[in-house]
Amino acid sequence: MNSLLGRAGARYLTRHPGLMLLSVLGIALGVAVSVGVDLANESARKALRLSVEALSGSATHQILAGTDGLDETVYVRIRREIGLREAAPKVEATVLYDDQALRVLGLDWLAEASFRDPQGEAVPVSASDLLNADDAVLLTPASARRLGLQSGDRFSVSQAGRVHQLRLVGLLTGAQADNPGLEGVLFTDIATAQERFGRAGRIDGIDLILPGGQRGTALAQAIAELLPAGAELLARDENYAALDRLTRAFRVNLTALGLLALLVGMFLIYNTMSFSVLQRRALMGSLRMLGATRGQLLRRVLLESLWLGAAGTALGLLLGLLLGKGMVSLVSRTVNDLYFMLSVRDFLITPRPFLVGTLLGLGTSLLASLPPALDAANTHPRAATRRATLEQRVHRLEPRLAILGIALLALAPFIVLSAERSLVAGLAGLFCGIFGVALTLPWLAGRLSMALSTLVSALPRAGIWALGLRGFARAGSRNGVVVTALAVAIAAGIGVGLMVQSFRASVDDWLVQSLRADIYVAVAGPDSRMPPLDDELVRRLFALPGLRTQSAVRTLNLSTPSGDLLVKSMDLPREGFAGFGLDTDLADKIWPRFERGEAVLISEPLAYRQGWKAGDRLTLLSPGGPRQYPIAAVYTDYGSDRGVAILPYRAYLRDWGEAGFTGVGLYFDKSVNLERALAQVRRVAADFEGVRVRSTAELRAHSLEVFDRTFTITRVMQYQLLLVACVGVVTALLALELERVKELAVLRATGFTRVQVMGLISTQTGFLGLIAGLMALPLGLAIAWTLIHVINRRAFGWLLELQVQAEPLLHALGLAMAAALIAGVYPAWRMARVAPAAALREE
Amino acid sequence: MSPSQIAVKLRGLGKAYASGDAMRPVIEDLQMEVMRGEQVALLGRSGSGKSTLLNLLAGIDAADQGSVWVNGRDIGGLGEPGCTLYRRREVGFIYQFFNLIASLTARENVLLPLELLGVEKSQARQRSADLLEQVGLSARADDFPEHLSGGEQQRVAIARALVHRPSLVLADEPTGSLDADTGEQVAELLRRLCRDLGATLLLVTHSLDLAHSMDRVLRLDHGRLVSVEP
Repeated sequence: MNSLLGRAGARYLTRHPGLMLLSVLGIALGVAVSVGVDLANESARKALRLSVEALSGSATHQILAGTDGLDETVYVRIRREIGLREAAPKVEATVLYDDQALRVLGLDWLAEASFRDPQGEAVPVSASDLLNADDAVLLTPASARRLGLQSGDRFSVSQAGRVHQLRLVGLLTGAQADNPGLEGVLFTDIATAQERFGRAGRIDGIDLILPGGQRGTALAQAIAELLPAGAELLARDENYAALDRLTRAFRVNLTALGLLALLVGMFLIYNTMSFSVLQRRALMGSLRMLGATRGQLLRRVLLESLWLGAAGTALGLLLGLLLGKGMVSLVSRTVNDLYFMLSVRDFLITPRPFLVGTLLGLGTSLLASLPPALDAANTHPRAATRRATLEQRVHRLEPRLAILGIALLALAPFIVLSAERSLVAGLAGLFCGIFGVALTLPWLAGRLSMALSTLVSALPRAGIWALGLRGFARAGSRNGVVVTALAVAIAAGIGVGLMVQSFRASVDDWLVQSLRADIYVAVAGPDSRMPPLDDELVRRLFALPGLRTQSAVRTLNLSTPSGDLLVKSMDLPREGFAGFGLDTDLADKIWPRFERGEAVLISEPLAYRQGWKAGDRLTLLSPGGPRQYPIAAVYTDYGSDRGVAILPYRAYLRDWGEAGFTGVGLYFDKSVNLERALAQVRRVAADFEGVRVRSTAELRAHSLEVFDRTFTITRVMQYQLLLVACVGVVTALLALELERVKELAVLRATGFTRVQVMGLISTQTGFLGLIAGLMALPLGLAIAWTLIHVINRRAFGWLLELQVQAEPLLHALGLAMAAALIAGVYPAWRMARVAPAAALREE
Repeated sequence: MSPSQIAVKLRGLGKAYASGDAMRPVIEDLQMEVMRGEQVALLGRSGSGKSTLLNLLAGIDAADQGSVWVNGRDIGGLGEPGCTLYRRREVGFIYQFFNLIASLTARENVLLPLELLGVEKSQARQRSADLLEQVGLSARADDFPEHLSGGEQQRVAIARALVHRPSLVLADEPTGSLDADTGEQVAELLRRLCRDLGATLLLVTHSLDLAHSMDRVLRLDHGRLVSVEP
């Protein structure tokens, strides 16, 4: 590449530093949002892996038990009959300490050495201290610091109504001390855990180190044969992969939002580069006259955009790092709320997001600048001799882009339907559609602005407005790109906003419908392995005066031939059964079978994921062997995206032979004052630790609070997207004003005041925002529809109703105008300060 | 006149542009020959086809009929890449509005054609310095165009058009945006340098004085050659 050509390009950019910096910032923000999300996702993912690894030590395999755990004799048989010495049993439990959930890991310290403490350096106390004391626990130094505990401290934790006094006998040392995956884990002796947490004679899993090759396979086979129903042998990676799959949909959705920001950024790059090419058409023509080839000009423009892209990407990576650090807590919190208790809380940086961000930043820069680069290469040498307006070329390009856009829009449904259940295909289709619309919008914006300006100009006393609008309409094509960027950002906001709003309304409706009792009492804690409520508590609650009826539930993880399944075993009154929201006739038909324990219900996500429907049979592995239950109906449940099955309590009692509830619902007579009843229930529950009492209203408010917390990150990303678009508006407006500097100078020379110039530009920016907002409305509705009916369905299995209200749409329209007006303040101020004489002198 | 002495030969040249649904002829059946080193003025009213003729000669527009021969080669058959190389090697073009590259200094503007030709750096520097000296702008070599007067900018443009020693120099109203005195100086400079170089000069102008200072004056009207002086 010729150095003088390069120098000419570089100097053009440095002569317009504001424009260049804003372009770089546009790219940087696009990359930053994308990298930030990716970093946060990857960090949470790595935290998940570290948590799994830390908890399983150097085990190659794990035996995972079902809800009931394994009989500890299984462990003995593995050691004696199979002869595998490298096996260590464990008991797990979740306890609450100062409202913080902690994981208890009960280990056999003698068997454990080869798994996590080969040098015997981790445990600072003698094994007998742990073996002989029934309250001794260990923590990592970091956990102890966070919890405010010191070695020797006594403290209490609670689990399912029982308080346990524990003693911190020491802090882990050696390599284990710094293991972030062990944050918030209380280590204790397995016998202590069994005794304290109601697991006498049972274990929750066994860590194994199996050799590779044929011997390992043979050992795995022998162990698998020895396992009872409900227990499974998994390679460690399989365990991680299963957890990773759970959070995948959530991560993919966030990544999609990040990519949308990059798409908006891409329009900004296109805008900047096409502007710089259009402004230099005479220069390009001169170069062509001097003998510069098309290839030389093409390479020159691409190289320029690559430099801008590189600068923007570098800045974007840095900003992305900061953004990711801020967002990781939001991502981790959602993962904790919904999926798995991450013991790792740190921001863990992985190189992949930076690599992907670099490729995306440079790739989108090149892609976005390809059309203007081709335009530059095709510059006719005559352009040097003609004062062609910058609009002409764009005008010619617009209809072609619009046709391409319509073709992409038509292609989108086929991509969505190409893989019926694929989330990635759904998102690819959505992006294809958005991109298609985005390509059509510049043409549409041009037509719309012409029509609106004609309309407004016809108004009496339109004055400066009319002048501003005519100027806007003339530059319609130029405005088209920035209108598109803003419209896409606003539309994404509308789409995501409507989806969240519809989701929230559906959840709220569901809560109102399903929370039939007046007061709920349940074990406090997130784990479905929690032992049931104390029988005495249940007895006293059910004997309360004024109690009309009651419901009860036992939440469990039961085994199916295809893995564990969250099951709610429910003992319901007829009116409680109405909470499933089934059609009245259907409910009447099913109820007798449910009451007799002859049918189960399954939630929508479970039905969607497994492809099950009413009439199919659900197989659960009970202690007496596999049991089949007819699926009577599929019901709406937003409680878990993994899916839930509702098993009649009678069936559970019959087939599992276990009594006890993890939660009860109390229905009082209408004459009972509910506040007094609540106070009474609380008094009864106060005698039992680890019990949570909530009125229906409180439970509903808490559920919606968790919902809102889950979507905080979505809102944060909506605003980030809008910020990217705003930078784009400022860039485009500056570019436009640069182009019109002479025209504005003529106006100033003719007697326009600075205020009038600012008014003129503000009119145009407000108009730009209005058009962007108007175009964003249908696109936003389409995005919302797709998010609800395709993306959400595929990601989580939920069926939602799109609920459209005028308020968010008007809010979006106002936001578009406000964003454009705010973004226009600086360009307006700048142009009002231009000295007319200097501007008129400039060639 | 031997064929080797002919720099430009036009045979039955015709060019029309679309005007609404109809085609408006700009040049019709033009026959013309220009000798090597000859300096020819093209006179005519606006729209008479003068600039179109220069564009056809520069290979940036294609004829609808007839042929354009430059130095014994039909440039109509060169194709786009061939025309680009033809301009790079054999043509120097001077515009009414200078069209200097604003982000390059005077020296860099002059160096540009040599760089495109791949002339060795020190040689290119020497040649551009010589030419800038000849146009009297050595002292302003490192100034950007915006800091130069109109006359100075046009002198830089002349230096840029001649630095690669083209055989054909095309000038489209080179004095059109300059005052009379400056225009005369610039025209004199252009004529002298082309003569020194032995380049053929075709110059479009509305100035009769400038036209008559050339070797020959061709008058165009509605795309036809209506008179030749002397």
